[in-house]
Amino acid sequence: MWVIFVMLVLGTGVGYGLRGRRRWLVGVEWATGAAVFALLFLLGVSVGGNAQVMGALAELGTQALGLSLAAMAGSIAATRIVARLIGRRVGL
Amino acid sequence: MKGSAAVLAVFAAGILAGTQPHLPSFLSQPALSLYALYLLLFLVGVGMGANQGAWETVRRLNWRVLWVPAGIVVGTLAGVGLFSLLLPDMTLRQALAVGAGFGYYSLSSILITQLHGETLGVVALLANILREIGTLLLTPWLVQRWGKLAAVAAGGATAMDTTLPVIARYAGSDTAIIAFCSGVALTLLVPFLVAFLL
Repeated sequence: MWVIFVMLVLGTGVGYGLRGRRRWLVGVEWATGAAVFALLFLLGVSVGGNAQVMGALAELGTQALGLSLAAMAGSIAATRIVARLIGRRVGL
Repeated sequence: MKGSAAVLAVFAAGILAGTQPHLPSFLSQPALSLYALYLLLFLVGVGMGANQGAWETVRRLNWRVLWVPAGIVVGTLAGVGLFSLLLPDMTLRQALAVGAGFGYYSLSSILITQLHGETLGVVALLANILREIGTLLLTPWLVQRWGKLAAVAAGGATAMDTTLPVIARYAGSDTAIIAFCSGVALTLLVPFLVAFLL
């Protein structure tokens, strides 16, 4: 797990050094998108090859929808309290 | 919306490829995904470090604005935590990890797949994509019924990029600045919180 933090911190340092270098940053953005697509494709491949996950796909989708709605409802409720506490001071 | 459609298409193409019997064996090597994930994390870091505008906007703002993402974290985790009580085959920790994506589906689903397994990774991908799509579709109603911050809350981490235009359109540019800051804070938090929770 520590590799996750090391890669992020290393990247942030390199990114700081690349500030203002447009061409590099466009390349980084492109590579990020490519890495995301490659990884999601690979996630799909391992899902497709896993009969257990494939059989439960509809159920997993229903769970995901419920979790998503619960996450949005919870955060909306919490920010209503935040708005009451700090609303005027941040111009809401 | 175009972005989430592309993601789902790539994911579906992967599923289709995965069901083929004569798949090149390197595609199912776990090490390939792992090194691609490390590369992605590095690139995400570069993007964060280089984003001068984001850091300056956060610095210029009243620090109290950080109560907004803090509220979103607490509310999201409380919401998914409560919902997990209805899911017999999901533990609290798993539900919290899915919620901790805050809509940042690419990084959170990939991290969860690596740290926990593909079943939860799929749930995380779908739940977080649905959060983005839900925000894009519901923002006009959310702002009208629940106030401007509701759109920022629903958007989570996506409020700094993909859902920012719709938030700006329906909740105004003042709220858009708060949305951007909140989205940046949540985006930075996602990898740490997901890894911590699993």
